[in-house]
Amino acid sequence: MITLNNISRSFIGDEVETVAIDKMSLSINKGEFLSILGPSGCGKSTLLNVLGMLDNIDQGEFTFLAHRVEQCSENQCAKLRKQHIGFIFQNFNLIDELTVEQNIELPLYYHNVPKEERKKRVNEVLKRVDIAHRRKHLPAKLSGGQQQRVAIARAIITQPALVLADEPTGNLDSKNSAQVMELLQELNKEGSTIVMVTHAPEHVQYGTRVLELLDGKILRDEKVENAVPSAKLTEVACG
Amino acid sequence: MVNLLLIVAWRNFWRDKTTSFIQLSGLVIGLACFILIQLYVDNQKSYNSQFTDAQNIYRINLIRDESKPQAQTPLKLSQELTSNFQQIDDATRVASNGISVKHSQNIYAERGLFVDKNYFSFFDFELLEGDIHTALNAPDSLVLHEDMAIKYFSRSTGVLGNRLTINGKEHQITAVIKKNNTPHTMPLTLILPIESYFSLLPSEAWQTRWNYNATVTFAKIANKSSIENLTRAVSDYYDERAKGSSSFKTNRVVIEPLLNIYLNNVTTYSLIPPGSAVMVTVFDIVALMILLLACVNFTNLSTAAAMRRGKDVGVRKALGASKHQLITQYLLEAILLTSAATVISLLVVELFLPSFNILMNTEINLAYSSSLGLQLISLTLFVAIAAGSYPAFYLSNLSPAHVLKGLVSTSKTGNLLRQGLIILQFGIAAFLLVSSLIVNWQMQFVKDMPQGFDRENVVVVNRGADIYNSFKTQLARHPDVISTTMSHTVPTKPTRTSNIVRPVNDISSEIWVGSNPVSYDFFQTFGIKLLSGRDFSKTYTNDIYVENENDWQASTGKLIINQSLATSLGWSPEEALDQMVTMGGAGGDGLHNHQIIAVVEDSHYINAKNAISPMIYLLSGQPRDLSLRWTSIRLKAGASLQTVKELEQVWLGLDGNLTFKYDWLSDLFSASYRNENQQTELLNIFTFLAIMVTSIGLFGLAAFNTQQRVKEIAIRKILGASTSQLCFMLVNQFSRLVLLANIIALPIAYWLMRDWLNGFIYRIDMPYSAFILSGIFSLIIAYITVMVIAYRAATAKPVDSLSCE
Ligand SMILES: Nc1ncnc2c1ncn2[C@@H]1O[C@H](COP(=O)(O)OP(=O)(O)OP(=O)(O)O)[C@@H](O)[C@H]1O
Ligand SMILES: [Mg+2]
Repeated sequence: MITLNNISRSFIGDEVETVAIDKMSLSINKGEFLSILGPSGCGKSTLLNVLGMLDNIDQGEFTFLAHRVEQCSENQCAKLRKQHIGFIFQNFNLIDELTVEQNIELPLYYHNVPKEERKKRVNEVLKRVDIAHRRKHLPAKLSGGQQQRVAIARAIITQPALVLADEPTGNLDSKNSAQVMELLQELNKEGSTIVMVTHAPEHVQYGTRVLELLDGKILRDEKVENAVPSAKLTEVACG
Repeated sequence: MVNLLLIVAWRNFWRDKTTSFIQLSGLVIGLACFILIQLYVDNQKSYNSQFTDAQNIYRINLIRDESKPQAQTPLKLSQELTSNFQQIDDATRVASNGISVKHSQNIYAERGLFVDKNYFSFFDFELLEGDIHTALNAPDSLVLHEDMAIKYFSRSTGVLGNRLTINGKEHQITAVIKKNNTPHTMPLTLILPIESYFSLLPSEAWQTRWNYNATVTFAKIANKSSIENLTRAVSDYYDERAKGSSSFKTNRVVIEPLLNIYLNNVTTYSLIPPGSAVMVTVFDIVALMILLLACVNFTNLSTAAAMRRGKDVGVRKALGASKHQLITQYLLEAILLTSAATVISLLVVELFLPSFNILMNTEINLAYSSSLGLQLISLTLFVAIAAGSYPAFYLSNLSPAHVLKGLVSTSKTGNLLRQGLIILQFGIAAFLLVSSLIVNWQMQFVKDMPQGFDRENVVVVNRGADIYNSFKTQLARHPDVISTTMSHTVPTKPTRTSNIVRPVNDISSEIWVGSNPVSYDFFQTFGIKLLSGRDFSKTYTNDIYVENENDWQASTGKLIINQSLATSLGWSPEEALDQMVTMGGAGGDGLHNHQIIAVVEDSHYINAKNAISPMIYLLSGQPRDLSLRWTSIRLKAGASLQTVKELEQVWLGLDGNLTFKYDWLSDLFSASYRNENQQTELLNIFTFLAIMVTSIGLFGLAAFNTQQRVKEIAIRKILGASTSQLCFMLVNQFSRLVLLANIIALPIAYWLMRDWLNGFIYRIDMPYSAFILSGIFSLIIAYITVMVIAYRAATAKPVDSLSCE
């Protein structure tokens, strides 16, 4: 699904040049649930932004579903992103002025989905993330966990092939975190490819593959062998 | 402490450069406009205030029947006033007439003021040289204005005793008036004793005629409370004597303060063209509006910026700053910014004063004085407090807990206020836009409408009655001359004499008509079309108009009338032909009948703001018979200045002492619209500035609003919003406000413009397209302004906006 070949991304600051991604090669297959670990500043968010085409690469080749991304125009990238990718952020990034329902509906609106269809799908995902009872509320009135569930609902409503999550549990307590992780795992089982940045090593267990970065390079890349069943993990999290 | 306040203010100014500069530029435009217009208004209101006795001096105007008051009065009025009315301390006469000045073989046409000996005791001009008490004593004395001295002698001093030949008689210079910039209503020209004027009159009897109005009369009246009674007494006195000597039924006077006469543009025949009180008021209002717009910008942007400064307030309050201290801080910032704006606007005013003076035909300069300083300081303080107090109180009232949580941004009242102010601004802009569109269209309409004469290629020369016949004969041989004529008045100039026309079968009904005595070829020369009948012709000797005062019935002469008169008499142009009408019967004249031989189209005398009145044209056998005053020549299209030079040669060949003072008829036409053109142009400039200030404000607010929403924009973009969708969303929030502003402002504009248009006799229908255009135009302005910002925000990389969290 995704192939990165020798890509680099650096930022030129006032004095120093920071190499956020350093000649990295990586391929991600359809159906994987990839967790990215690493110390702060090692380039995790940058990598995720690159994958989501929110950021450009300086060097290397980036293939996404047979498209050579580094050769795409801004508009083509926007189109790929719109069709295939959903985003989940650490700070939720919900729009304050819109209700839960409207927030979730927004991507469908931009996809020109007809109104009836929009309604139907919003209802489905609302139930799915278990937030239907709060559909008329403004985000500010919800708890962090609830807000993140709304954000997930918004990310998956277009049924994207790829979901990118940057520390989705970073602002949540462990109980809410577990809930979010289970939701992601469930999505993955239903066929979505997921790439998630996390600071919590225990969350790796929900995924199928783990990537550890250091200074813009891949330090470790391995399959998660003994994926913990969801029920058991909840116990661990609580205990 | 103050030091610290200043430092903080300075830092705040630079911290948010865009907002500060937008606030500053809005204020600069607003203040500069205001100062400039205030200078203009002061200038217009200060006419004649330089004269020591200005408070006690009055001009005597006549009102005869329903006509407009006129400043021309009988020559003997001043004498009668001083000897018969004890409330009148003194009186003086100022008659104005064209003169020819001969100096070293050249002849110049000038306007001369013929005045009484006590002229300078009324109008105490400063003299460069000469004695103000004796300057006018000698019958051949001559007082020059500095400009005239320079014109004739290339110097302004040392000209005493020099001679100029005026109307063929030598005069000796006895004084030179110093030029100054304080405005007054006395023409800056040559001043002669009034005795010289008497020699221009046909006979001595004219000096004492009650129906010959030739001079402006000024009177000194110290006792203000007596004015009302005096007006009545003088009116009765005058009416008693003037009655019966003219066609007018009532004769009244108005005693008008000297300080008011400049802005009174109702009275005719004043010495210099008057200003307009209405215009001054309109300017005052517009200046205030623009200043208001600038204040609104300031308030709007300050409260918007307050959100960003909310944290600052919270922290300060948490650290123990009192509300009072915060208010001081923010007001001080407003005062500093406004002061800077005042200083810059003074520079702007200096920069634009020369062009403004040219446009408005004024000589205003910025005289720095302590009173100006005081005015500027009050203006600065006023604007700073008007614009800065809401933000100051608003900011200082914020609760720190809310601010620190970042809740300021959702303040409903702040938002409403800002939206209200945007509506106010766009309302004013839309109002001005519609008004100036309609004013421009109406003015264009008036200028383009058929005038009833062809103004191109006609040269009009002042006087020439004595040489007219030879002049005409010689010109007939000139290849570029189509025709030559002479007349009492010409289109673009008022008709001076009136007559009464009555239907023969109903002589009790009177129609007041303007009367224009003309020579042959008048209609051809001015391109006035005959609707029926024939032109005056030499083949019919009876065409010539002669009143027989011994036997009124035996008066002869044919009439050509204009269409309005035909209509008033109830005839079509064809029906009017060969009809008889009765004339005379006013002021002791007998009745006499005349036959109509032609009806011509209506022509505008003065300009199209005045209704065309019924007119008769009489044929003057010789130019002197009916005192013809203007020689007019129609040239072939494309005739050059050289042709005019050749005409002048012919003219001077016939009388070397008579200046060839000419104007193109088309120039006279344009000149009669000069005031309107000035007003229109100024209105256009103001409208432009108002729109500019409004867009500056909108730009600032849009920038701010968009900045508030960068994160939202980024999220939407990631969710798939296109650039155009985002731009539309950002622009849309303002277009609603702009539309609302239009909805509020346009009915007001409609209502006012309807009244304004109703003031015109010849007018366009209310142009509804102006309202649509204004709506569309203000939307476009708002779109462009906001789009600049929206586009930048919508095309920004979403990561950048999100990562700043
Ligand atoms: N827009 C930017 N401009 C300059 N430098 C940047 C920018 N974005 C990231 N960097 C730098 O690139 C490096 C990688 O940053 P990145 O955000 O990818 O780290 P991260 O692994 O996500 O860290 P964290 O765990 O703290 O989120 C850091 O050194 C960061 O300072
Ligand atoms: Mg990160």
